Amino acid sequence: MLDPYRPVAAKLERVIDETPNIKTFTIKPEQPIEFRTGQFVELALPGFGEAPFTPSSSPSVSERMDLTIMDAGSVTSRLHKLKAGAMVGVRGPYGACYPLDEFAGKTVLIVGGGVGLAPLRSLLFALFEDAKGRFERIVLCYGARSPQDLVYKDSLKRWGEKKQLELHVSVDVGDDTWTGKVGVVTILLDDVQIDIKKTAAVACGPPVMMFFATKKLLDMGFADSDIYLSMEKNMSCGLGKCGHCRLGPYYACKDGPVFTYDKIKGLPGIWD
Amino acid sequence: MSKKIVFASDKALLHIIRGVAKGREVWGLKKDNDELHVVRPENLEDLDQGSYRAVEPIKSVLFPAREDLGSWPGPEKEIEAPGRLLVGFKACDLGTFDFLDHVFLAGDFVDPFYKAARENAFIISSDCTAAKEVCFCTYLSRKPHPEKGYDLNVSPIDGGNLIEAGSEAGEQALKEFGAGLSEADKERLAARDTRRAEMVELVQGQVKEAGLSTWEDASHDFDKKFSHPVWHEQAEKCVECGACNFICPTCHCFLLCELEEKEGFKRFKNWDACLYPAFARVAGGANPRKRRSERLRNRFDKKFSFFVQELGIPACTGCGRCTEACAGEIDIKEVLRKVC
Repeated sequence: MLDPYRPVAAKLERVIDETPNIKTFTIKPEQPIEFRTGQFVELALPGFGEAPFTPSSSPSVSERMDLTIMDAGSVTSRLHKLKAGAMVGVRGPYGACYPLDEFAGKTVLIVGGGVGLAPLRSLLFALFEDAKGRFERIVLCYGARSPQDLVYKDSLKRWGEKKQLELHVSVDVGDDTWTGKVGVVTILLDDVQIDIKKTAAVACGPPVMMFFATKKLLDMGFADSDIYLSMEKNMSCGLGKCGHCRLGPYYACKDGPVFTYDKIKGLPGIWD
Repeated sequence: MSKKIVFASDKALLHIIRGVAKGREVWGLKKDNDELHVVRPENLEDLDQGSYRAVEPIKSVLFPAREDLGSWPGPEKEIEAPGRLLVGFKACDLGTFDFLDHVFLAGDFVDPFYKAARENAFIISSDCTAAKEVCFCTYLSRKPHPEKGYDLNVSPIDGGNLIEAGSEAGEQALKEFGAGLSEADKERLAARDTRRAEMVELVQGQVKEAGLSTWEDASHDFDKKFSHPVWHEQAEKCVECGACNFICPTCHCFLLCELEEKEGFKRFKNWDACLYPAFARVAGGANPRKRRSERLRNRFDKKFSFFVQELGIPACTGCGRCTEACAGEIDIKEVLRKVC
């Protein structure tokens, strides 16, 4: 019988500095890992510990996987010290994916904050690469603390040229080089012209951003069930057994990490 | 299906235990002052059937506090568990399987370590013939005698024991090691029923004395009781030691840990406690349960709301271990009385 707690060894092939405290790690697992966009994996630092991350790469590639990670805790700060060539472990994928079929034929409004753009980048790839071409209009509102805290700077430039995508970017605090919008990410939503009834809203970012983004989307007239939120919870096993990520009647690892707002509305601790 | 029930003297019972124990790792109860503890006995004669449950729950054998999950990378080894014989465990221990089997064996992923341990365990349980002050199993519509989950169950009566098989392995063991034992007659079955009824009455008396009736009759809006004052009031006494989690037959939370070895790495599955401040904390510091009162409430909410939604029954077997273990003297019966 297979041991679901056991990681597959993976080689760290490349490390890209995104911001002063965010890096993108490209790993090559010994066996390919098929995942659907929005699902997460447990990344193991051998002999030290593991933590959950949602891949930021396209779900169409299973041989390699990108994980964009902020230096925020014990595992991630060690990860940030790793160099290409190092061995890591990976388990998964786990959890529910973004329901692309439910998004089909709708405008997909994506709201991302800081490193929260990581899983959304994977979603964007999936939307761009959709074989049936079901996603004609994607609106991305992305915000970070400062210009240097923006991740995927090159990709943002490329995406900005795509017909399919309408890109809005803001920073909380600008600098001499910044000519774009200044303010929290939710201000970008004021510039967006969309038919709320034919739009699915997806948000991922730090807890405080998720709270205000949800509030804003509701104010705009979105139904609870059209707001898709990525819930960051402490997950150890990823299998719905270890109990850490419970959210009311759900486990974030099994029933999430993506939840529509109607499912989790009113549960204690969702914004922390 | 009605299983065979035989009458056995203490000596004949020991003969059966001895027979089943052959080639198995034996875990049973041993008295130390007034408490029964789960031990690996040197001699089977040292074992005590016990008139009530042990301090330690049965999960400590089948889902140990720290479980070695083996090394990686390298070839994956077959996951095995020793054949075990577990003797003397009570109904509130067998109740553990209602929850642990669901957590570890149901759904998309099976825990192969628990599965192997569970499949290779032969369980000889026994009726309670006395209750501890903290016992309140009848509140949860449970009984102080096993009704399922055993291979053999022992009901002490005057002059000996009635032994009932609860599985094919149990039937087989009775055939093999209890040959010649006569089937229990009407009088002895009646004696068992009387004893059992007396025990139910005794425990129900304790439940009543605590101001409770039954869970069935209580108000069930646990998820609507988030701001109930009881959580703050009881949290004043909580020292966040996690003893209630570790001693609980239904608490199943664990943390996967890694250790470096000479060659490769080793994984462990360690019990974790939701009363610990960092239990739900994520990197970066966000914590959905910053306050102790929230963590205390979470423990009750998981048992009396989450599992009720998931399985239709609360995840409590009424053993009272959490009350006994609590350094702050938090009494589960008092909490339930105030909340429900």
